[in-house]
Amino acid sequence: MNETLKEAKELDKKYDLLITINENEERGKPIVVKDNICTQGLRTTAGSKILNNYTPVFDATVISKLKKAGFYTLAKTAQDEFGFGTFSTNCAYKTPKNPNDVERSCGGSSGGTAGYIKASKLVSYGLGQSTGGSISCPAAFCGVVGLTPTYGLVSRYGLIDYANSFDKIGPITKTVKQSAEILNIISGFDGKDPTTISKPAEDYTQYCSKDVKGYKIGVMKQFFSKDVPEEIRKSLWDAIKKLENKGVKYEEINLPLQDYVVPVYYLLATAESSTNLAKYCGLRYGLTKDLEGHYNEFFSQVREEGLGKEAKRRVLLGTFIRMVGYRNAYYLKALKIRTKMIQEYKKIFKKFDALIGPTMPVLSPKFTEIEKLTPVQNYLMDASTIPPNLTGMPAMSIPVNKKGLPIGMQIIADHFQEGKLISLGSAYES
Amino acid sequence: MEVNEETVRHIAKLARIKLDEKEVEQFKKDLSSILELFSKIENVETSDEFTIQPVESNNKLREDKVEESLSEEEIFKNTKHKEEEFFKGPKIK
Amino acid sequence: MKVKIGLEIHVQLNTKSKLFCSCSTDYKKPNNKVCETCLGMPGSKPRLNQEAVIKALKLAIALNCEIQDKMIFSRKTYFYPDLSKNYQITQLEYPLAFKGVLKLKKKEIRIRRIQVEEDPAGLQHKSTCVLIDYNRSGIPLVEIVTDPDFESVEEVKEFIDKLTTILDYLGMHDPSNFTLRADVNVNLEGHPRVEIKNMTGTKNIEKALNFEIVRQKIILESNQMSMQQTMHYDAKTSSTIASRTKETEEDYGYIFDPDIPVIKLDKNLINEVKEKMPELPQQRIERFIKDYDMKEQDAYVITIEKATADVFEELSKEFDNDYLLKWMVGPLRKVLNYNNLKLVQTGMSKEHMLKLLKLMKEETLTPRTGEFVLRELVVKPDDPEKIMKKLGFEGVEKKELTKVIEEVLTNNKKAIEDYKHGEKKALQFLIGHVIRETKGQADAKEVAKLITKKIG
Repeated sequence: MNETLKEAKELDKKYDLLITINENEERGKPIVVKDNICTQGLRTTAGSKILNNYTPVFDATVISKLKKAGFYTLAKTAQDEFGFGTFSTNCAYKTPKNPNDVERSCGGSSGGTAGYIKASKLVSYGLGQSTGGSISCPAAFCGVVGLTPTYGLVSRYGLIDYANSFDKIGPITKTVKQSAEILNIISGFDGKDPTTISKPAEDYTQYCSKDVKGYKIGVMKQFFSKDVPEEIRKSLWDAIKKLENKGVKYEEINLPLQDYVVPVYYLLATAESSTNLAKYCGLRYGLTKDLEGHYNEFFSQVREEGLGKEAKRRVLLGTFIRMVGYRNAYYLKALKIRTKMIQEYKKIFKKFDALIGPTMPVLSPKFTEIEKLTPVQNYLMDASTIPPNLTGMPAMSIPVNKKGLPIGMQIIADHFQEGKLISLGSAYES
Repeated sequence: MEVNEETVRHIAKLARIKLDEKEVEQFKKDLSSILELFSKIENVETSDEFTIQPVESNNKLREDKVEESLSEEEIFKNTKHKEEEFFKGPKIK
Repeated sequence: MKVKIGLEIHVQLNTKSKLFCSCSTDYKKPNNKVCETCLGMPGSKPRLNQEAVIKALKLAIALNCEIQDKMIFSRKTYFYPDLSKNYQITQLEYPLAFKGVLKLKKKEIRIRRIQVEEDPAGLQHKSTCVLIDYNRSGIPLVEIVTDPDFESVEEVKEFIDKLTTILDYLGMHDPSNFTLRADVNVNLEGHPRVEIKNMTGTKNIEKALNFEIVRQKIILESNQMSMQQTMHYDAKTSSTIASRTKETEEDYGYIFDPDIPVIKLDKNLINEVKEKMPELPQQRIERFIKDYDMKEQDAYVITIEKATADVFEELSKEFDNDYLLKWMVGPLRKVLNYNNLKLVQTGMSKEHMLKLLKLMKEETLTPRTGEFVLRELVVKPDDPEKIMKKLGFEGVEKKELTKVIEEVLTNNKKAIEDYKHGEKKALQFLIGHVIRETKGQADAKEVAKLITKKIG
């Protein structure tokens, strides 16, 4: 058995990071992939019991591209079921443990990938996926780099949908440069996903050495409130000062409509996901049972058994707000607010090159603490990572401390300005 | 906003998810509190403009060309519910 | 008692590939033209077929609709084994077009909306299970919704026939592979509406409507209360049957489909399509009346099928128009109807038809024998002369026939006398003689005509 495979089994045993390991001893560069990205011939579950025996017959576009660039999928990583969660505690298979402290969460929903990249000595490249912050959050909690690209930059073909107008696939790596390398490979227009954008290709690695002198940064004031632990605020300000020494200018700003980002996000994301999950009913693939009884009974029982509690909660919620009588006040209203938010953020980026703030308002919580959170408290945890996901703008989380539990700095830029994220991130790193 | 058991059962039926009484009670509480959180959005002034995808795509539509379909092996790979060349499902009548 | 009927018609668009994937629309074995998209596999994404949009646009233009400036697809979510995603991609708030009109002979029918959507899979019901064929899943459909402007089943039939002709002229109709499905709303004026869902084919629609109208009348006449309800048509018993209310209680929870970008229908595109529109049936009728001096009724009949009108125009260049027209609206239409075939479904070429016409014009074939040859030609196309010989109609040339008649008349002077004295049987006798002499080849009517002409 080769070293990489050996390490994978060890890390999985130690930290419960992987759902499926690719036992084939492949050649090339290993990458660990979140389990909601389809890998042909290799089991893909999206962290859910309802897909526990599902083997895709096609590769996601990002996987095909990575293969062409010499990568192979080493393992499929643990995640919150379908992406529903902030702590990867909603995985039907195993709950990944933070390598920095095994009593704490890796963050979510791409917890398995982030945890693996942190713990591994041999693998530096991973794929995560974000709907409301699922790349940034685990990157922050585990202490690695996570890059959430602009919506439409990377093909979603082969990504098992959570919310189609929010989902993005992005790299989770040890360094900023590695994220830029992966972005080079996976980005670009794909005919199989009509929501991808046609634009001239870029070499994102060139931004690693770009001078950030003169960059104007907006410091997101609302994320530095007294409720946020002192060490997070301190680490962030130290990071901002470091960037200031490199010639960056900053100004504190208030994000517009911040009170509404959590409700608008959850309204739209659950509306979309409740329709995306309708297909899981025991026909043609996935968890099933014997064909006894009437089809309504059959569907209901398969879904009852195969979907976890959070998945059920979100499907019920999403179904409710799409109903006649509620649809206008909830679903359609949220769509209109989304327009307003994008317009407001576009205005901000006319003035600033990027926005900076703590990725998460807390340090990685203990599993015992997470258990006590109500659904609403859970959802409010996403308040800082949701804004760029709602507006489709790119974001990066980069670790800004070396001691203690990891703390992530979130950098947000305008649509297709990944280059600025990479420049700033690299500038901080160096 | 208050959601009652009746509503939860109705939604569960629409979504084809079987719930026991305990779950109905639990989800009733959950949904009520979540919708409470959501209700504040009515305060936001909006125009009629709405956004479906946050970034507008700029592509042409797909050309009407036939491409190879999946093989028999591939389409039935993930299920045992098959009869000859048909997929099998639970009865309707 | 006035009847009000509204239609929701689903027509399959004859694109090469499906609406949201590149699987072929030409399938033979069950489940052999399916892919991850039309099977609803996780991770698959819909890719809209441009040609489907163009075809739907052409139909909307032909029905005089107001084309919208943008079109948005929606998800209609409900659970049923024929939906591969348990939602159908269709259109709600932003369909392709609104407000069109189709003129019938005596009134106008208003088209409320036209939308594009995907077809579900095909189901076969068994006692313990259902068999599903996803070949049909994802086939592009156009849904045409009318206002409840119909007041009779005849009007409904006329509408469907006219719609079929328009589709034919737009190149969107293959008679050997044409399915028209419809839901209808029908009520007696002032009384609740009944919806009959999911009927296939004109005949079933007519039968269902006829049955339902009578059913509602009976209820009313016996002073009972009629109910608003949903029904389906049972072809076996030719009756409408109430559907279980369960099936109709769904809240479809529509959202805009976030996988499909908004489709802009800008003026340039619409004008481009308008300019490339083929001649429509009404325009052709008007042109035939003007250019060929045709009667309206003939023009109407001959343009019902585009192929027939095409053949007329081509053959009219080298054949007597009046004769040609008479034959096409007469014997040709009769034989095609009898065989329940459209002209395109026969293998008959215009060369075949031209030859047959020539043989008839020069009286090598009589109208009677000509029709026999036509019947054969329609089901087994071949050189009409070959068919003529095969059927034993060597044909009697006029010259020869005249000779035979003269001979018979010369040899049967008494019969001529008898006929002149009012004995009708004498004529039959003479005709019989002639036919015997021509070994049965001569046409009785023809002979009678020639004899009476000769003897006065």
